[in-house]
Amino acid sequence: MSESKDITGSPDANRPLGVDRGLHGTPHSNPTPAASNGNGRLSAVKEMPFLVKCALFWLIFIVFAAIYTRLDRLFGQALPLQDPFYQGFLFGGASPVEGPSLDHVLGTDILSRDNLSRLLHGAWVSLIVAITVISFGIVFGGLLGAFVGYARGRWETLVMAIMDVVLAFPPLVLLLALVAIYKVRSLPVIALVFGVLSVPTYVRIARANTLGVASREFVQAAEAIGTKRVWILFREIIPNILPSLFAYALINAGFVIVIEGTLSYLGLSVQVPEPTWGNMINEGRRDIRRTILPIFWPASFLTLTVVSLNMLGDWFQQRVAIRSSSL
Amino acid sequence: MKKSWLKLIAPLFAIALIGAACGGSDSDSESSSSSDTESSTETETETETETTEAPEAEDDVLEAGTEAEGDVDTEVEAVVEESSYGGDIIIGLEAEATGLRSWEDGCSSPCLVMMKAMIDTMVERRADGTYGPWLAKSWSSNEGYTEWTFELQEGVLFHNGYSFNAKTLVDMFELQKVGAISAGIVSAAKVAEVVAVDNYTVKYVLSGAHSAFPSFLYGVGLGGVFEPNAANEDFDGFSMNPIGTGPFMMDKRDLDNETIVVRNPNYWMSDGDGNQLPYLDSVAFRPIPDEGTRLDSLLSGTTNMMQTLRQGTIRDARAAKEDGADITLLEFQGNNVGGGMFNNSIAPYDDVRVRKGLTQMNNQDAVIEALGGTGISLPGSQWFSPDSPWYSEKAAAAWPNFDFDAGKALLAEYVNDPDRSDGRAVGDKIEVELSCPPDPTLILAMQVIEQLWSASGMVDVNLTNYDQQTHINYALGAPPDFNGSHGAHCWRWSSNDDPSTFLNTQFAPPTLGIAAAYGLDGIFSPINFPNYFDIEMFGWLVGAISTDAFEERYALYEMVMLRLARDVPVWYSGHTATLLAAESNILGVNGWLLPDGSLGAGFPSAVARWGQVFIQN
Amino acid sequence: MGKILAARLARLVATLFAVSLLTFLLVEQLPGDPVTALLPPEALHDLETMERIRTELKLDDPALVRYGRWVTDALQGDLGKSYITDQRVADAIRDRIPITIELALLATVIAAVLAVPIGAFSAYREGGRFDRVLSGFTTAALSIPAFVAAIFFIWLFTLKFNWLPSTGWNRITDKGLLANLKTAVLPASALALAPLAINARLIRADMIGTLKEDYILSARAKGLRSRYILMRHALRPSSLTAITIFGLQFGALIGGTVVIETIFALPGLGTRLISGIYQRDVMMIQGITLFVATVYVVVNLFVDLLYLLLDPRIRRQ
Repeated sequence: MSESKDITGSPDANRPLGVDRGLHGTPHSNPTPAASNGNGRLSAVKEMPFLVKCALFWLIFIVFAAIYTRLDRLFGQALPLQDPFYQGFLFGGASPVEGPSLDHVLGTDILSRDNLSRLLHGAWVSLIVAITVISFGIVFGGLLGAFVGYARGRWETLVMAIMDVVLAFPPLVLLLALVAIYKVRSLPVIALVFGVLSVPTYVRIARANTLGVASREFVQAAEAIGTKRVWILFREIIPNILPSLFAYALINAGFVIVIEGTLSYLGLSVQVPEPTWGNMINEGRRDIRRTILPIFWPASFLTLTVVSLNMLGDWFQQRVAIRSSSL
Repeated sequence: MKKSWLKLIAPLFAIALIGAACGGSDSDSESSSSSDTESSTETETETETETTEAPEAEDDVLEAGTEAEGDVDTEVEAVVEESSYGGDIIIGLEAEATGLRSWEDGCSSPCLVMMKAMIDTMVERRADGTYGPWLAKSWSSNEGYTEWTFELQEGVLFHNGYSFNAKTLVDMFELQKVGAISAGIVSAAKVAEVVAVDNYTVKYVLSGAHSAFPSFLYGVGLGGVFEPNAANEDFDGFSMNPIGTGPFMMDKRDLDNETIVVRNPNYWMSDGDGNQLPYLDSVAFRPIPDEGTRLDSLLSGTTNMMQTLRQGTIRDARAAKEDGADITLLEFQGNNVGGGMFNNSIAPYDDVRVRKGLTQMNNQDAVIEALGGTGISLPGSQWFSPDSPWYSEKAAAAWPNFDFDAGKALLAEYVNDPDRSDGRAVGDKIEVELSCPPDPTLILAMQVIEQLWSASGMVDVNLTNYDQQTHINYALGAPPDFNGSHGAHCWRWSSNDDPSTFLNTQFAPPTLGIAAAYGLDGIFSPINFPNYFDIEMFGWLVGAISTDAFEERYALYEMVMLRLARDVPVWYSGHTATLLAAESNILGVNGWLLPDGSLGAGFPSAVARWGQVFIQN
Repeated sequence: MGKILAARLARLVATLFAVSLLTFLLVEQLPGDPVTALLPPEALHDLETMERIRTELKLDDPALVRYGRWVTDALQGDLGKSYITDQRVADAIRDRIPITIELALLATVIAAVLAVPIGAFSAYREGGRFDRVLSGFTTAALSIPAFVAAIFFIWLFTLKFNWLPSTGWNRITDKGLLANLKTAVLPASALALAPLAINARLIRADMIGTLKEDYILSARAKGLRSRYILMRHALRPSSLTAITIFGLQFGALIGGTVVIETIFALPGLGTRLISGIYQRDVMMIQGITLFVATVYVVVNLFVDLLYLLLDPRIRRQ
């Protein structure tokens, strides 16, 4: 789902000449030397600029942290991590809005719960939403887009028309309406809704790229020798469009995490007392005159995560562009 | 039969509901008003750590609670400075008023500030709690308290030139009988008809005795005097441009931005020296939902006054004043107390051990502290605040205060009872659904309570937030029984009006079945949200409206509060602190007088009366 | 050209109908009786009144009929009346749309105006320190959620420096342009951050490409100064891209101001939607959603057509 459609740099075959010159990798836009053989993934990582490596590291940290917190819950809080729900001022051990200390590395929130623990638990919500969206987008959107891009004809018109309708809704408004009307509070459902709403842009990208790939010589050659079209679709076309889908997915994930943060800031995401970065920011607002810290931590985590996704996505896009241009 | 209970229900509904669900307001707040009026503070109960040693934290919290000042209300005292004409005031309000028809639109504290500038009421309340003359000069009743005769002020004109007289009230009553807000009050007050005895004398005929009837004419729902011809001519338009007899008239209404009222040059009231009121030229109302911004606006001079129902803001205002801000703080708590209720008709809340146990594990002081209200909001123990004439020390002592162990023990008794009402196995946790509207302070409070209840190890708490409309509907339920499907439900209780105006409707039989069982056929109240009934208590409530002797009524209401302390159908989380802050040269908000010279009630629930406000030179 | 226009218009209409149908169906699925939202709680036990109102409002008609009625009314500008506040939805929208539009417009302008020098200069000094610093800044600006930026701005400019108000809105008609801008600049800036970053990158990339073209080379050979080249020759081909982007951003912002309006307590469309959501005001939610979607679609179509018209390659045909 992309509020700004092409603005985030996805190619749009509906625009005659594509507004994609800018972000979508003309070699001109890339100051680093082109051409890589890009064999193993590890060599790719080695080639990353330092900042992109940091971004990758942060994302890995977030993923592991989120998983760690769920394991902790599974084992009944047995692992070394503060309880994100324990309110110290009630039972002793902490007071509201404490600064960083040995016990509470990032301090406490207004109900004297450990900030770090809540941040890590909140990562799970963002993670699930991001993964759901990426999976849905690439699998459903990618398949659908590749199919209509290759098959063309009436299917294409119908599907693209439907995608137009979904894209016509301003995403935030639609989400708000859905959540308010159906009062969804469970993470799987919210993630699913995000996923469904993201599909159209993936379809567009997949279709655009499929159109490009389908006109390539190797595809036409395969068709000429009578290869089944389905086989071509899965063996030739899809593997070639996956990289740009994935590149977009990274950026899309960042966008979706922000939207979820916005929803939970408004109190319309998962139910309290589940911590999410968005509702932590909301709770922190009350004491903003006295200290910005309760807002600063969740805001930083949110921003850093999105920055990392964007940087990684950008880097990936550049590589994809280089590869396709050197073909 | 259907009609009779309808007539009884509707009013009970309006009053209890309104007074209950909204933020601290006088009797006319309607639940459907703005979303942000609740600043509920949940009862705090002390909790100890899971280990056996008593932590220091416990003492701290205890201290915070018990050392809260006994009476935080600002003293109501007459104005001594000399008044002067002229000036404009801008006041920041908590929310916009969605409609200004006193009989039809819900109106809670922020809306009343606006409405009372344009709409006068029949009676006003004095600082000592009694009701005194306003548009009604005097009144009397017959012996059975079924006929109330009011003498009206003469020479009063509406903003559109019409005369205010007995016929006005008769015409108003036609609308009030079916008004969304007023219909309920008409039923609760049991008004059968309104008769014009002569040009300036009107008689309210009741279908049942009510010794405190005039108190119903204090709230704007029934007592607000609006111009019936204008209302009939343009029913919808009246909401944006109400015509009353008040000191100000509607000038401009820009929803959610600014509403301006200007001086009524033909206002009927004059001050003690014969100067015609009001003093001010205009008042502008600005809805500023964000608490911090509303206070900022006052401190920076963008507005001259502000109103709030949030402890956090009151604390910030006090701090600002200490830092040197030149403002006056008018604080008021009053009877309105936040808290919640149990649905006494379903398991496990039908067992008093569960209700009492949960309440004892509820740390009012901790919740108040979490909301930043320590020293600002007082913990609640009954439906009256310490400075109300109805307050009872005995009832306060009887209320099950915070005692975590005792509460846990009671719950354990229930959990281990093989005949437990929720039908679960011995040792199984109790399932509780704690539900509050999505107000930021309530959401905080419910998280605190959830921790407290879960800490016992015997309760599984499920938190839910529904929009206010749905929240009320869950408590209401559906015909024919209106039991409601709520469990532990955030709510507000009480108002500063005569206790009969809210207690009787609240604790009438909750279902027809129960009514019939006690031979009270047809007398039932769908707005008995807790679904709690005690026949003795009901008898006391009925008795209290059959006499107007204060001592008798006091004794009866004290017994009612004691019964509530014994059966615990509801819980408290602190009285609703309210604040009107103004630049220090604005006088007259505190200490206004009634036409007979007696001292008025000041600013209950942060509702300012504008007629005698002036800006000191 | 005309054929393309007609096709696009047809698609627009079809999309809008689909949007309206979806919105209606969405609200149709709402659990609960709409009449209960309409009446105050104390009237809810009065079944006779409820039936009467249900018939009055023709809520008993089949869904298709009600949809048809709603759409025909909507086409004439009547989006119904709120059950909760009694206000006509169209009136509420009309009152509030100027604020939302001004906000979106101001944000788009800020994003556009600031992006040009940033993007141009980065392109000119491609690879240099300025370029790299700015590229870091744009990535960050792109990634900070608007509502986080808004809270930060409030903390900085209102609480710490006390330069600008943190809530409220001065209407131009009431208090003049300057007062209005005082209340508009913080929210608009928060909204402008992400589009600004995107625009800067796009302009930079486009301009880098253009700068490598032959005619730039010949201009340099002629001895023209770099800055002159930048302004006269490189900037123009890139503006086509820019204009279409700005248009799209404006359209997107119309639906994206919701949270910012809430944070700054602006009396715009977004806050009305949110309060409608908190109050479960279904007519308002329905009406505003349809309206915003319509604006979004229309703006996108307009931008599409503009692009078609302006693209020199098509014009040459």
